[in-house]
Amino acid sequence: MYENTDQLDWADYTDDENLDETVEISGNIKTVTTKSICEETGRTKTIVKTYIIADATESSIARRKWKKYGQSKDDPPGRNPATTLEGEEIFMEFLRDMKEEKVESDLAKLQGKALVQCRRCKGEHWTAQCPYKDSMPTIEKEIPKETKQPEAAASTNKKYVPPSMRDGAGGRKAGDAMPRREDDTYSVKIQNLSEDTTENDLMELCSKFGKVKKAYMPKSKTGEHRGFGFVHFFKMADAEKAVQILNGFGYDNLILNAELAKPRERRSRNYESKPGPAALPHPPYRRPLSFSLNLEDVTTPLIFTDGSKSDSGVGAAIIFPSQEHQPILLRLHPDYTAFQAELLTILWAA
Amino acid sequence: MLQWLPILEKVQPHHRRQVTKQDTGTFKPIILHGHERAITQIKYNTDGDLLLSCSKDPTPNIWYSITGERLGTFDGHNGAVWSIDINWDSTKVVTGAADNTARLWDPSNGKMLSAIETKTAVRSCSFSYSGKMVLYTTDKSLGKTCEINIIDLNQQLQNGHVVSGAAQSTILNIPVPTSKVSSAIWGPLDQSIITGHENGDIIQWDIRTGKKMLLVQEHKDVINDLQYSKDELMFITASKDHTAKLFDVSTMKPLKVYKTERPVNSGAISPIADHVIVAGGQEAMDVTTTSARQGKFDARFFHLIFEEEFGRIKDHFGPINSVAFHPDGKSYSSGGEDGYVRTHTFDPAYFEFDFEY
Repeated sequence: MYENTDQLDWADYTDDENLDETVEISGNIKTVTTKSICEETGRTKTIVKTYIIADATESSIARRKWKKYGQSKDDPPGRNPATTLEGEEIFMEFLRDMKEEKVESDLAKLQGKALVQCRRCKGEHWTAQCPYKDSMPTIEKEIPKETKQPEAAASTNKKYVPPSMRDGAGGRKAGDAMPRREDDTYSVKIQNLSEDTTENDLMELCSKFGKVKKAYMPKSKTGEHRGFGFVHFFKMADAEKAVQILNGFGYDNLILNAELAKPRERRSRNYESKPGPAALPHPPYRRPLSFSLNLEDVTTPLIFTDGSKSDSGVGAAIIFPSQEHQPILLRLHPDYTAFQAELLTILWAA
Repeated sequence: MLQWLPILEKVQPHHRRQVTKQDTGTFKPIILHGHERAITQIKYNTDGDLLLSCSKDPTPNIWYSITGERLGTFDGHNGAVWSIDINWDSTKVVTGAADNTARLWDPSNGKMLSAIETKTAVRSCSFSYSGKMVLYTTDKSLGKTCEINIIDLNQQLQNGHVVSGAAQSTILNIPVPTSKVSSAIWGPLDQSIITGHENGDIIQWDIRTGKKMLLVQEHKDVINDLQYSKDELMFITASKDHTAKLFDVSTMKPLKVYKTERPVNSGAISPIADHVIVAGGQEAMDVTTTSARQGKFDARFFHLIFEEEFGRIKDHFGPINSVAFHPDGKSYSSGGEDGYVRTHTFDPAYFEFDFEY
């Protein structure tokens, strides 16, 4: 067994060119000895793995002692390379793709029956696939209309409607129920993900850039994700950093495509009509204390924005040099983007 | 940007890591190259430590399945060996060949114990569950009819070496004037035998009377292979009519159908999961006319119950003639027209795979 399997990275022991493996079986104990020569250091690494063959029966252990006969009479103990070879690793191909095709063809069959209706343009396709997604008004307006249908109709459909949504309940309307994205996060859309990538993988990848609230991958009807996902960062700066680096980054044999997710239209309309108050109205401008600061000490600066999620409008930033010193508050020109601001603060600190 | 690359390079999805970080590291198939011609049948013994293979060359092989070492060869046949079987306690091996003999061997030293001379080539042979009887079937050729024979093993061994006709030890002889038997297995409790025929019929015979008990006509073409499930309550057929079917042993009613688009040469039922391997490919004579990709030589994995294919393993360069699950269900072997036997250990993805329903 590897002594420190956890510390060895998976990338360290793949495709070892100088691999020499011997398998020995005595009784119900199987010993696999692997010798490999490290190209860089020239040292020989020998790994001995011992397995106990759990299902070995007494008779099968006895059979291991039989002498070889026939054309194998003169074979040495162990494998004879003339008759036993080791092939290239072959893994099972799971037919997820084929299943998708099948679902698509099933959908094609249903198309004539117009089971699917777009809520935007009333076309015969899923709303998410609407070609007028960007040009048509958003659907939030229309949903209340649907919910205003008489309750009797709803009951005939036998579809459960929560009491708060029922007509006459006077509560929230469908439109403002459950905003899909929390207002205090900044989401990055990552495209071209391989089909085996999970939300946890994405979370792990993006947490390298900063604190991630959640990663979300929309699922198709068949349960597989559709090749893209959203990562919600707590900080704009982290999100921008992630975009900067992940755009064009090779992940699982695919080149990722990352961009800041577009703010929803509803939000921007709100912003136009009623600009929200800046998160930090007017930070008191203070000259930094005079002390020397190492770059290593600078932890991620906290950058204040005005909450509009647009690039500009960064008002201020705080650097936390170290525990002994007080945090430094910087005031920046509002035209600075969060990313520039961060760079600047780091440079300044240096 | 550059400072991030070393950190990020190590971040890859989990599914890729699992594969390489695996403990056993032996997902490389073991390739057994003991035959010069196309494999005709492979079989594991009850414990799964031995693997037997026979081919169109005259020497059947016996292997240690764990390491892939060849234990030995059974030398003596003079023609293609069509069928091989080992009894439940791995003390006897029977082979049936085109040199008009069925031979009994001792797997511990490779010595021939006895030979049964027949009128025509022996197409299939197998031990009864008790190991006291041997079933073999002969081909229809040169004006001779196809026959199903059952011999008493102890009697035959007492008779010593090559016995012509094997008349003394024969318990039952059923001439089959209609379509010839292409594969045969013992029925439940050694009370019957089940034969697959060249015209697609499957017949259950009562061995006490030698009469047909049940006849099912579910297949349209040759039955190439019959294999039991682990509990021997069901068996799977493999037919040239591009399907494999699952039957109930006692009622002989078809339960499930696994459809492919090429002739099926062999089918096996997993002893641990609801999985079925269906393997085959184009006929050997047509292979040279198409590329390997079009030939569809991959082993296909179907869900036993849903009849839906969920995975494939592409491996052989020609059609697969015989597949067998290891009795522990964690690996399987396939023998192909290319003369190789390949043993695959399933990777964790196979065991983690869960059918969505």
